[in-house]
Amino acid sequence: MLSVMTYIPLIGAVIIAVLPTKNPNAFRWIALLTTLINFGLSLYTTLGFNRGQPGYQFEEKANWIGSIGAGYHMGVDGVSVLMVQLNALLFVTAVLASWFSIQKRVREYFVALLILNIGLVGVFCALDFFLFYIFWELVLIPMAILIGVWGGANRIYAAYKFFIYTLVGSLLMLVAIIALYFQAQPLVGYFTLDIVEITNATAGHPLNYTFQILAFLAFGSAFAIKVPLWPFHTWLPDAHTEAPTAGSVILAGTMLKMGCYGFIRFNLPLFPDASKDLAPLMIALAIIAIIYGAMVALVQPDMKKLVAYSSVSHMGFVILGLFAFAYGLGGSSGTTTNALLLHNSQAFEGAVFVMFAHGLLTGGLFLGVGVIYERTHTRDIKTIQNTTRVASRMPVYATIFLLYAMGSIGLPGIAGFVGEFLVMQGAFRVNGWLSFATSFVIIFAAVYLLWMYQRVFFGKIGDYDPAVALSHGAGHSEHTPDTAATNQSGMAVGADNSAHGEHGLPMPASEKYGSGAGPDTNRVGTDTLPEKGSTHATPAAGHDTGHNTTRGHHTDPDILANGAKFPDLNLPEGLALIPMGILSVLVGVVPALVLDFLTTSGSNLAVTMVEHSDKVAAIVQLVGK
Amino acid sequence: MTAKDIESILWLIPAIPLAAALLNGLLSILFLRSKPKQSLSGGQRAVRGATSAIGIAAILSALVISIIGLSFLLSQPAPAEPVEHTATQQVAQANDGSSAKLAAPALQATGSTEQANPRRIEVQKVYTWIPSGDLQVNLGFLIDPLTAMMLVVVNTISLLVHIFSTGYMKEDNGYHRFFTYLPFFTFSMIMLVMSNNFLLLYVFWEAVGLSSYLLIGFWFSKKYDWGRLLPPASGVKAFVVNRIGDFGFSLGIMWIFVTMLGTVGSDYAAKHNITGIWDRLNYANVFGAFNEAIANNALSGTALTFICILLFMGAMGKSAQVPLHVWLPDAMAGPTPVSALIHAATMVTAGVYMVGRVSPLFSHTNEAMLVISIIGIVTAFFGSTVGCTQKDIKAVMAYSTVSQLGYMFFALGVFGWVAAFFHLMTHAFFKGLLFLGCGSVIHANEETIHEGFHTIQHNAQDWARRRFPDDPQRADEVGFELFEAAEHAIEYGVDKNSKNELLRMGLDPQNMDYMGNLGKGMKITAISMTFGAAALAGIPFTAGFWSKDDILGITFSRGAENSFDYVIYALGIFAALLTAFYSFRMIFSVFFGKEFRLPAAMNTLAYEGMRRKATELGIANFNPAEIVNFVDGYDPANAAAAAHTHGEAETAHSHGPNVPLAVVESPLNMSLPLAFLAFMSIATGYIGLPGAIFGESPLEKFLNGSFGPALAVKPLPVESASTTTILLVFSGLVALAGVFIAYLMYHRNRATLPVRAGKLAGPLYAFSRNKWYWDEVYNLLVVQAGLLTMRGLSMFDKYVIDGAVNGVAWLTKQSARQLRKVQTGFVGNYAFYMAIGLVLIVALFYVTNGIKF
Repeated sequence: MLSVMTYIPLIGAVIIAVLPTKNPNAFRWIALLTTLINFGLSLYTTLGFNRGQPGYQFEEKANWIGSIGAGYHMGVDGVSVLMVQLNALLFVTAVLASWFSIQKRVREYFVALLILNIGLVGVFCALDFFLFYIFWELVLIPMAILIGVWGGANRIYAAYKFFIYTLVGSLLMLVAIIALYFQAQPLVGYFTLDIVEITNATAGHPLNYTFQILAFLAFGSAFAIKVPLWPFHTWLPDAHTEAPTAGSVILAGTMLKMGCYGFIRFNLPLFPDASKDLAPLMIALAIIAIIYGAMVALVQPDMKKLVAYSSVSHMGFVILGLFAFAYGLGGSSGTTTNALLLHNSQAFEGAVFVMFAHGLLTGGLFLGVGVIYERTHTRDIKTIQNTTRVASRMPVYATIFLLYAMGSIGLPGIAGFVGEFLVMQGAFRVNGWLSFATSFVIIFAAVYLLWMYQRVFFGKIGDYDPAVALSHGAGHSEHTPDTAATNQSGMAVGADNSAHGEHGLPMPASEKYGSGAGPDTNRVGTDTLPEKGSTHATPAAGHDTGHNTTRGHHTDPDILANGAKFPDLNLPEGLALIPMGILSVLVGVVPALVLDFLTTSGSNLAVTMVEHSDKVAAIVQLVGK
Repeated sequence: MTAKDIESILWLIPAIPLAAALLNGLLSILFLRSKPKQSLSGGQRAVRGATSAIGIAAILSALVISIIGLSFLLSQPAPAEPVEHTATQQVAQANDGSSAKLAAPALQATGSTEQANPRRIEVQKVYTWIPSGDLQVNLGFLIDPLTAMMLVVVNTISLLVHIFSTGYMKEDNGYHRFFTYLPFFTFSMIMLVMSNNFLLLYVFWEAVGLSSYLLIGFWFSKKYDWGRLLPPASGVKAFVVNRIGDFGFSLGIMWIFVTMLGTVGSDYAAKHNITGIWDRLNYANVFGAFNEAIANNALSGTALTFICILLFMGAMGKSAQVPLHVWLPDAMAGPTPVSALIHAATMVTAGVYMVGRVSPLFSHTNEAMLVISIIGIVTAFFGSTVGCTQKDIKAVMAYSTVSQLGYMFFALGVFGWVAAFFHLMTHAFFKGLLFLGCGSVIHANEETIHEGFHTIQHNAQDWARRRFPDDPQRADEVGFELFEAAEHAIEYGVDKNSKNELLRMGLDPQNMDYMGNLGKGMKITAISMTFGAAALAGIPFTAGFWSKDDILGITFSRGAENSFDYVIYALGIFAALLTAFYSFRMIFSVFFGKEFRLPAAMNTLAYEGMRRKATELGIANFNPAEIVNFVDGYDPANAAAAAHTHGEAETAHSHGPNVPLAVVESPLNMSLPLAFLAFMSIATGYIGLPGAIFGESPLEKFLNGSFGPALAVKPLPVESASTTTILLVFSGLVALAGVFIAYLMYHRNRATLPVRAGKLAGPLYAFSRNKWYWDEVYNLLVVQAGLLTMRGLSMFDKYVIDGAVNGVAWLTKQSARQLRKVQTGFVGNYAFYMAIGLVLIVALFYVTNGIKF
């Protein structure tokens, strides 16, 4: 099943590559179909996953390169099955998000996207170091290509930076894998690269402490760059800003999770003593990331950069949770295990929950940014602010974007809150001050997202200067007596409205919700002049909608007034955004949907990590709960 | 009807409004979106109307079920109290009291409950919301006297506001959106008071915050609001300031949970045979465990104090207590019904509710209670001083709300639980009334102004045709230009640098300076609002009088134990004086007085605007008074003409420049809620008459069912009938004095005395007028400083951290570039390098191993 899931995108990619047609729609449909099949399969896996059973499920094992002990071993546990599920969902939305926005090299684009999909499924399923490393690196190339070919203005720089930065980390990991290969040999009894075997062996006999520290750092740097943990985060804003929308969604949604997953799969179980002893360091970095990311996000002028820095902040939560969890476990060099922390399942479950929720919510935010980018061709908050009042023109979009923003802020009832609360609760068990420091993000997150929302969706406010407005408009030549008469009758009806200051914008029927509008018709500026004879703004409402000429009696920043094309979500965008939004509410209201997968994994991990001598007692305690 | 029946219908109370909100949201998104009202088809208009009907029906059913719940609780016997709260029993029996008073005993997450208290019905678990190891948070409902009271108050006000809004929002393009948000808010608020554990309280605490954000920013397209903060920005401000409070609130909850994980919880679990995973954040469990731990000295008092103060931080945010009050006045940017419902009657009292709900913990910590009373009295005092000088009618009410919430908090701070909730209830009614009344007034003012616009347009057209009889094209153009200039001047002012507020800001329909004598036009509103203001002022025998006096009386009696409470009492009395003054300042300047000031203000602005436009258009000998001259429609001299215009306003426009203007009473769907609330703002006082004189009041009897544990820790002080009477008479006199001052200043000498008094007060006036400069200080110290820091961090990120990354890359590139030069291709060079290498190796060996040649 897992292998099928991994290689189906390959089939799709091959078909797209060899298809003897130039019709981009064919590529789009094949890509959509492939990701949908994959989604169905992963849903089947998720539903078929036995949540109470410890260990890996859906395992596939085959000999591969016997001489070095590398085998083909796939399998999922509670954490990875969630990640695979998330990944499959995000790839469907990524294809939908690329439906109209990618117009050049469509064939190559979808091939790259599907190859990326192979790597990402593989990474979460591989249970052999050799295989894992192949998938890990496989992810890198198509992503760099996506950024470098379909990216923004500065894409080459971003692609190189992304590629080299993460490659440096991966190489350190490779060195550590090889070292581990030799270190584990005496414990296992033979040379193997099988992750499960090595983990089981080291659980009984911890590795040499110095080696643990070194290997932790080597693995850790690869993962920390991927997460990205402060101060290794600077590739992320660049990559996000330049990547196409789908690239950003995947990057934020699943690629960052590779790093977190690496910590869960390797650092914590393999090097428990190092994890415990380095936990203070990791926690400190995580808290810096949380606060720093939020603070830097606040002043970003670019929407994508803002969301990227908010990702840094959210990923800090994952690391905080994982190491708050690790803090109470392991530790041959540490003090006795604190019984209270042994049960700190909130930290672990919260961390994985944040991974999942962040995938949905930040993925959604990036999709949302992509939607506005399609229409205005800018992501600069100030420019959009001065261009139009998006909320009036795209009410559905404004609603769904607010949902994602609120979820990202950590509003209870949406997925984001549960994870963050659990992590903070877990951190509080370690030390109240950790939670105290982290809690500032509650404030900052609200500021940066709501401020951004205000500027982007409500446009320019409070800019009214009557003197300037009055001195403009020496005459209204377009006001024929006819329109004046219309105005008169219009005012009586609209009188109340304008008294309240609420002026609905006339929405021509052509702006109806619907699909089929290509990007060219979406483009701003193609049709900004008011249609002659269309429903004219009433004089009362005119203060807002403006008479869309330079001679208007005051200039309105809404340059798109009246007849401009500024359609609400089209069908692919709606299909990408709305179901995922509903899912994130569902997960927020019934978090057990996700948490149930984590209970067994969490206690498994805890049992693996607890120091050998304490093991019996600890297992009794853990099972006892 | 049994407790089981009630349990089975409880879920309907929140579910119905939620369903209504979802349904309305769906209808809006599917059929209406942001289309303006004029462009809707017949079917769409029907849907639009349906949204409000759905909302009203939902709230009505929720109210009915709430009342059923309340009456069921009333029909149950009061819980057997081991401690009497009558004044005679002064000895605190804290120890045996606190453990015996636990409302519900050990509660297991899954187990069925055994109710010790017949007036407390709890649905333990609908489902487990967060199951994470030992953190088990169940969604459940709780109804006890406190909740039942809150439910009825919330649903009643909500219902009235829904009805009022059908009139107030009638022409608004966002009608359907409004009726999506309102039921959603009501749902959140219902769940806030009905939830049975701390985390759920927090959840719905945030949910009401979300509704508040959405409704404050409801008119997001407003571009100009006469100098007030605009709706989108106000919404953000409200949400963020609330989040500062939530920062503490969430930490408090986490601390409670961690405490419950320790010996506090495990001892409790052991004692009550709780095994397995249990809800450690459930109220009953937390209060039980904490009380036992306190009784056994197993809990550090400092920890408890800090927990309580952290929780109180949340209350400060939500209930707008100094220094987190800054959002509430700006929240008035929302539609006025919203201000009535959310920002006066219900949501802002959530903080009071929270402290009351957590009273079993708060009552053990005198330090936290001292903090609460200090914050409360400072807020009460602050709000009342600022309320005296605001000109915006809604700002007066906003600061009044801040001030009244301060009263509730210092009542809590002096352990006057029932008094605080008594005031909460009466305040909900009279402040809801006052805000809805403001809405009615503003609505009427706006209608009148637009009536005026209509006239100006017509008259300007006529005038221009007379002036340019030969050139109809030019006449139409000039007429329209002049009208637009006048309209623009009225709405936005003419000169941003003018000293004159009117010319600078335009005609603000909320500004009391331009009102007066409205009572003649809108009798129902005027009379109801006078009742509301009387209650707010504490005029004897109104609801506000009884409840405020309850608070002041308890504070005074507490003075015997803690003389600081006398200071609070004195400030409270002073604030009451100011309250009476500003509430009747509003009544006199809006509804009474001899002149209706709006027409004159309209004239000033319209003339100035038209004059400027005329100069621009080059019209000589322009006299705007020829076009229009608004006169007071209440002046009997103009009354006949007024009748004429009103009768045929829509059809005939053949009147001369003299146009009488007069406000008209709002329609019945707006005025009837006012009348009902006016009745309530007298009547509700009589369920809580002072116990010392009339014996324990029904309200006290009822609410003691919830405050039993808290009262057991610290019983109410003794109040003798004579002292209470003296205090009542005194505060009644104080209120009347305040009204009298307002009468002198704003009725007898409105033209002169207020200005003179303002000059006399000098800097004090400016201090109060500028709201003690809180916004300015915050802007400087928090916003600007914060932005500066963050910009600095952003620079740091770009140049230092990313600089280091790029620096490493640069270094690699450069060193590679240099190293490349080594590869020269000359064999001689390579031989030379080899020789050097050899020498170095040999040298190394020599140094390390000491090889001798």
